[in-house]
Amino acid sequence: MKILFYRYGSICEPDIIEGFEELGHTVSQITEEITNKELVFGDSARIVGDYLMEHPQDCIFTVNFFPIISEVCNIFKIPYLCWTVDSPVLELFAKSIQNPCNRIFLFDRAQYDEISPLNPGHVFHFPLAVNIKGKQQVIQAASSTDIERFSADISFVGSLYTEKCPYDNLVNPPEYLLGYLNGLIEAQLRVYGYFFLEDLLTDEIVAAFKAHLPGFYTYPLETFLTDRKTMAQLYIGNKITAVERLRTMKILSEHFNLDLYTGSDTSVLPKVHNRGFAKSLTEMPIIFHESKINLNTTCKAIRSGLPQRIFDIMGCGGFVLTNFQPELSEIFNVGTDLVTYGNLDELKDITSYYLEHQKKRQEIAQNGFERVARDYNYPVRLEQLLRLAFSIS
Amino acid sequence: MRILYLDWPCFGKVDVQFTLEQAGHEFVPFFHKDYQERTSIEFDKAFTEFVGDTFYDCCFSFNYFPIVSNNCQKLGIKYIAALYDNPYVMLYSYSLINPNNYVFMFDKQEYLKLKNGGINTVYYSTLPVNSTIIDYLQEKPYDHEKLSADVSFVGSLYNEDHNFFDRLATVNDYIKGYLDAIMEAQLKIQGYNFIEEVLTPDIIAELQRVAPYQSTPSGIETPEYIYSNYFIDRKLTSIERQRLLTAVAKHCNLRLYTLNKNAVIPNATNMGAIDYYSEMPYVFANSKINLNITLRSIQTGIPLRGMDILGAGGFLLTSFQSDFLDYFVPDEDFVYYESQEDLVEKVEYYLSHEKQRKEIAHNGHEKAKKNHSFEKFFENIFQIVFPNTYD
Repeated sequence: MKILFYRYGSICEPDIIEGFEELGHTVSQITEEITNKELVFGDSARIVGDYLMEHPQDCIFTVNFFPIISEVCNIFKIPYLCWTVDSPVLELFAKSIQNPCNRIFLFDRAQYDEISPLNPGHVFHFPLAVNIKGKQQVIQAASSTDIERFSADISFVGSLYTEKCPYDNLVNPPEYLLGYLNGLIEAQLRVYGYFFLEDLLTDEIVAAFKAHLPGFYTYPLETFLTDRKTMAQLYIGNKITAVERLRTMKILSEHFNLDLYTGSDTSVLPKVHNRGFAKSLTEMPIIFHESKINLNTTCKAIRSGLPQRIFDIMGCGGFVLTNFQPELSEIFNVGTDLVTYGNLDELKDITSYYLEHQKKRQEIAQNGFERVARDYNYPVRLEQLLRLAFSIS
Repeated sequence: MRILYLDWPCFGKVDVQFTLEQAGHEFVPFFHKDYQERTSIEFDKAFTEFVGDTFYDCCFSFNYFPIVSNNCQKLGIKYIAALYDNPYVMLYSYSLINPNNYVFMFDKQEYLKLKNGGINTVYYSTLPVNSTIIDYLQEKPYDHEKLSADVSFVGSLYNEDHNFFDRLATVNDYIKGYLDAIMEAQLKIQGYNFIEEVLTPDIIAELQRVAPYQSTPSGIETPEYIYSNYFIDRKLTSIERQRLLTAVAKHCNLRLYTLNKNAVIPNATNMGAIDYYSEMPYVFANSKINLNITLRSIQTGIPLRGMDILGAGGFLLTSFQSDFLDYFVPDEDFVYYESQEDLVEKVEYYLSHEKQRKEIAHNGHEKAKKNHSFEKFFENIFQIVFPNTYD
């Protein structure tokens, strides 16, 4: 099959391309958007349209959802396949989500529950995957210097979200609003697995927030997105992630050796070993493989599903310690394939337990690896994805 | 054994006396008006004189009284206290660590909080219930019309005037917003109470400004404990009971048995107060569905009402309290709801499924009879307090 991969620069793209190729498909790529962030809808449409005129394709694939690509596919009458790896993806609410050419794969059930009614039968709940072969190649090729350089007690690879926090643009909020928001944040922070804050945003609170947040996000075209969803998922969701990650890293770094691979400012966390950015293709696999404990703290806007990080760590044979997420027990055997924590006190105790119990840790990492290698390897998952995508006419 | 019994006006005296005397123990009641004081020379004097030269194997009371603990310690008497109220501020007293204490708590989470904090005088036990008295009561004539219902709720709406929460009316706007948010959030969550944790120092400071709380000299309770348990959790319970009962009453006949004659739930009938011993068991036995909406300050424990419903052979539909799972099986012995929508659905379902309802009530009653009688309760307690006797 001929698949046109429209890329924007997600770290998952190269692995997915390899997966399609392993299945024997021909993948061509349009990479303009990776480098040219000025690209507008019309430009993308023209580039893709021109390409399709010259090189007919069986479908187009993207990571996350691009409404304009869906429109182009609609005109060319070919299926548009996409798979989310993030949340929130506010483009999912665009009117184009209803196009019949769409085959929408969503990694998070909360996302699925929101979007599937907009295009019944064309939306699937589809957890993520990992490129086992690619990761293992990097790990096996690692030099002893690399191994030494990336060995750690506890590692976390990711942003602290402090720089991706549009909530902080709030200007002169009224006292009641500020108190309400801080109360919500403190409460939601303590509850894993149930994202209730959206229900607690009254019309008045949303209106007051919008009035004090210059440049409040609105989608430029017709959309099903509401200000309440934007406020809950984009603004408060990311804010909670920022607060939570700071507290998590603070607690861990005060009691243990914590290596943080991040571009975020860590000056408020003096005990953290800030290792800078990790190169996702060449370094990250070694980090996951050489850390005693790999931490995953899921960003709050992923309300139910499992982030890419969990699959990547497991695919590298690393030991995963993650916050509780509702879909964990549907996909893995909790306690056997990976370990979870329910709050920050528990995180501390569990960390210290597993730092001291090497054999248990290695067993769990091995179980986790075998599980993803069998069931969540890209070729396996992509084959299922294509079968689902082409099972509807 | 000879057992000194603190004879304050509590529930359960008759059952305690009967059970202990049946088991061959001597039951000796003692009362003094200052039993709730932290210190009282009069009480000390009366207690010492009452005991005199007589040997007591132990002293027993429902709830915990620091002054009793201190006097027992002075005289070398083991003090067994079984809590049925929560929150219970007198527990937070320096006297709690007196080595002669055996304090039995029905809320596992609160028990664990103290136990893990290094307090070795606390134990976990569910509350006992007399599950056979209902058979005797059913033989006697009673007001069947008054004491039966489709759906019943027995308890307070906590909406009395001058409640603690109203004293916080003048907090600044920031705190108003904060309290509104954490309370609405907490109402969405069952099985985990986070209110005390989210009362950060800046919040406490403002609460202290408008409604100052000073702990007593011998008390170790924190302001966080007081504001969350006595101010906020009560208010939450009031809001929650009002909302849930209103929702239920929209769909079926709900009878409210409550002290406050003026309490109003739209479409429900307020039946006024009923007597704990001579009337309440009938209501539980004769209601198709008995609701238990647990006071929010009880974290995981089974409240007295829950045990009383099961003990009377009533069908129990309750808020989620994880301690139930230690002794009972959901949907076999009792049923719990997870949200307002869930509650309304389950009320409608069980109203129209009599056979299932009766089976569940029967199972719950049998388990309460077998495992939670006063006899079993004291057997467990004495095994802990007098381990050698029971080897």
